[in-house]
Amino acid sequence: MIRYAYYPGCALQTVARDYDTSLRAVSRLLGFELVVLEGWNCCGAMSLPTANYLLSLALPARNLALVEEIGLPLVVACGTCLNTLRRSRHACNQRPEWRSRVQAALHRAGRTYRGEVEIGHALEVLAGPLALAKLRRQVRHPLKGLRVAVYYGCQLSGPGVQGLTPSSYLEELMTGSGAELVNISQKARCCGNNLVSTRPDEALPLVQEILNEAMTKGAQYLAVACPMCRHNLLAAQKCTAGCTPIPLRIAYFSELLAEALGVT
Amino acid sequence: MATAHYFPKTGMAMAEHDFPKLVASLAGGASLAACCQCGACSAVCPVAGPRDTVRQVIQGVRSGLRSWVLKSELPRVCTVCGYCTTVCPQGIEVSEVIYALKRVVLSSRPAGTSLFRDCFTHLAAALLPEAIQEQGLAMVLDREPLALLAFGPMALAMLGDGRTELPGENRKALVEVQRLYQAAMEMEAP
Repeated sequence: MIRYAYYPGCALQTVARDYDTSLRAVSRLLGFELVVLEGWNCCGAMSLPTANYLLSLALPARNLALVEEIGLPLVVACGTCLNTLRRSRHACNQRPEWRSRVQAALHRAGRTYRGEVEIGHALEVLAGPLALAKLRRQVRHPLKGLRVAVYYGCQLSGPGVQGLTPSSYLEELMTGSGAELVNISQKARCCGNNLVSTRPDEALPLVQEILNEAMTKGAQYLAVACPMCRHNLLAAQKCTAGCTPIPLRIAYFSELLAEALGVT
Repeated sequence: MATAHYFPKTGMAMAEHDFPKLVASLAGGASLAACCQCGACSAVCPVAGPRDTVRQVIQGVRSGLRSWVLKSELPRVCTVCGYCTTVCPQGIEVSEVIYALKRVVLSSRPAGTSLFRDCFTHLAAALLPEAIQEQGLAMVLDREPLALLAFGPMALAMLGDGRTELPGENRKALVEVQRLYQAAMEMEAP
């Protein structure tokens, strides 16, 4: 078993609990132990930077300080958390003056932060070459005949610093579990984020375009890896309910993997 | 709102030369000085449609057109997807600048309105009786937060099907976060 520190974040503890449970079960089967970070706090999401720049770096950095204390690489599963944690680390590494301010603020909370944590998304772990090979061996109920489109959203698509480097993690995991891949061109498009709540009239049509593309190409499932994306895609789907002949099911990639691996 | 197709004449607003500095300081030092106005950011932006584009807003900030920039829709609708930062050939952290502009917009709101209300208006519209929607709703959420008890049934339903749970005791984390908050408030300028 390879051990990782696991930062669930607020969404996976509440509205995206299916994601959390399926991810843990699948990780265990593929040889990874996710150790939940003791005493973690909310990363501040995309709201905090609009209130206080220093706090928007220091709040995620407290979690990184906790990870440094237990000395394991960190895994997160939420796109927003990944982005926020990497943003904090990047700013501290690039700007010495902010690094010392973040350190001073954390010192007041009794923590020290050195900036050495590796932050990865669950996809990067589960779609590693060895884990993929293990997945192919262990599939009990291949998703044969299931037409799956994948959707990364924007937070996971930014290259290098904050997102995953241009990748095919989701595609590899889905084909690895026997599904038939449906390519959609909008897999990296933004899902609208909070705009779906504050200005639904403007945001929902953007999201519906993504759903429409998946449906016209004949996908039965849309595999996602971010709670915010799933929430917005479901909201858009609800608006068009009744007019679509083929129901498109929106699921976390880990739920599909759990099904293929025979998790009960 | 200013028309979106060409840059506003400076006659529309008084230039405030400290504005670019204020924005840069709120954005943690992200400078717009290197912007070459290529427009790559506008091209990838998912929300810049018929309204003011990212490129125009950046030029507005650089020119100190505070009131024009604050009237622009862009800081309000930006979803911070970050593609502008990704494509910028000059390496400008555009999303940090937009975060800073969102902050300026929020702090310049007239008294009696709150971000809280913005966020919950649509949720509440779906849940509260029609009588207190629209204008009444604004007042209710600003002045009578007890009206939020109307969310009770939804909260209970979410508890019932396991989508949320009552917050557990995490006293230590809470104390540390409070200290962080105080430190950040004292240490950050404006």
